Amino acid sequence: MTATTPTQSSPSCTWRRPPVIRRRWLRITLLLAVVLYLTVGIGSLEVNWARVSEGMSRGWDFIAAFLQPDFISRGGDILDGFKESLTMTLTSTVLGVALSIPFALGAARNLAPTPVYVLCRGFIAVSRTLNEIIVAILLVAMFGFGPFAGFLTLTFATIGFLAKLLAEDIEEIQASQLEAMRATGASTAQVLDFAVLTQVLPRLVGLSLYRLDINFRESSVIGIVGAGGIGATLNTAMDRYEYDSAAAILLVIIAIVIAAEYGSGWIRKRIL
Amino acid sequence: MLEIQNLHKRYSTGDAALKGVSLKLGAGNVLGLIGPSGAGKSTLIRCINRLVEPTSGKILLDGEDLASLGGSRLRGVRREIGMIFQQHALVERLTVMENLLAGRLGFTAFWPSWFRRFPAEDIRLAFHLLDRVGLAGMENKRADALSGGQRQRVGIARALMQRPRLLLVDEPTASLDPKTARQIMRLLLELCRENGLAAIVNIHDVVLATEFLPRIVGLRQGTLVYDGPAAGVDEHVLTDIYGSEDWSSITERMGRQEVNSPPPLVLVAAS
Repeated sequence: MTATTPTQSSPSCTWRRPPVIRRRWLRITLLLAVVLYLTVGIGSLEVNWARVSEGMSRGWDFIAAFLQPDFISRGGDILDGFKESLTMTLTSTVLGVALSIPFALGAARNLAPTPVYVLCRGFIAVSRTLNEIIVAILLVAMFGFGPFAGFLTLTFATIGFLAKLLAEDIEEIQASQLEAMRATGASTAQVLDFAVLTQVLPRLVGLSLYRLDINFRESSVIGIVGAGGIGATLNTAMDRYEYDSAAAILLVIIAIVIAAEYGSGWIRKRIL
Repeated sequence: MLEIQNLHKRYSTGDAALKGVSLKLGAGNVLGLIGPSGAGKSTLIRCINRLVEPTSGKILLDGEDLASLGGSRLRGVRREIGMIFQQHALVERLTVMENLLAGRLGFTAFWPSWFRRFPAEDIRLAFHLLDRVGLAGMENKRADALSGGQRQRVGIARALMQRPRLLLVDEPTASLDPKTARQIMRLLLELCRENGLAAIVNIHDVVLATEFLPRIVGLRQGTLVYDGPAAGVDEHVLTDIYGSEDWSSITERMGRQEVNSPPPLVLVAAS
């Protein structure tokens, strides 16, 4: 009898979970390699501690300046910036959500034929690979400074984001409901309405609200590269070393993000 | 009315699910399809309304070959074939009434169905069927709030909303307790009789099948191995369908039933 087959007279009483990596030497070598790499990697970081301590005090000055926010002296600019940002956010979210639905349907393996699937997945991949700032720089170059470039940027980003997550949700719907609606002789649009939309609606609403939130935050970032909105106002304030006005802008952004958070939570509770 | 000729189905994975099945079903006739898991029962009934594409063979419904239909003509034929599913397959997040009206989708244009504006005639039929299946007053409940037996009643009512000529029934009792299962089978057969419906009932419970269904068709590995009256299902037939096993306790139970409760329906066997 070979060593691997236990004899019947003496049943084994020790058992260990089979290791993921079967070969012992490979397991140990891999572990040693990881430890070595981490040690060398951390050792190669050059930290100038003198510079850090100097920077700490400078950072503190910065924070101290933010403790006296000034909403008044640039009040008009701030208000205009926010109006622009909110407009950009809302319009790009609505358009982006509307356009993401056909892409999501096309990118769902259980609904779309392969060529459509590949096309839609490709578009989503491009949209998600390109960071908002890069898209904004390109679109500002094409359409000039201002909120229109920002609106297009956010719409483009919304489509990629929403279509991907929604497509994954569509792929997980109950196939039996789809079958049942097809069996009644319903048209494709009716099947999508009754069997698909009803199943993904809560997720669609939740994701759209979440994207509204993201779009508002992004709108303040892409303003820095010239795509309009509160980001442009913030950038100007920083350039002028008006930290008190910048602080006011940041506080309003935080307030709006928190309000959006609570608002979307409330709506989600109502819909589900 | 329904005639299946030499039906073959081979899945893209290479599995042959049906190997030349031929079957005839007369108007108003009901048959039970039994066989082990994987014998091709589900595939066979799904080929009829083309939820599964048959590889070759003919499916004649009143002389029209369903196997070659496409597009709107296929949808037209699907409207006339009601289907009842194993796990009810209700639209969980819609109300009972919307689930019933979904049976009329094939007869309704898109926008009226989007706004749930169905003809008065459909709504009257829905209330009538709701009452008939014992769910009166439940029209505004959401489907996911119902019990298993209630859901299957909605599933049956939805299929009947189509005013079909033929019912395809896929394991109607698989997830139900024994009492509910019997109630559902009884309801199903009463409705078939009242409406003169032909039906093919996929069912794995042999005792239930032979009690309620006058004609039994046995399928094994994609081939028809028995087609005859329920009373003819004995140990040999069961061995042919399922393989060798001690069948005495099942045949005893089937025998006892025939003395106590004869099948509720006497239907003409298909010729």
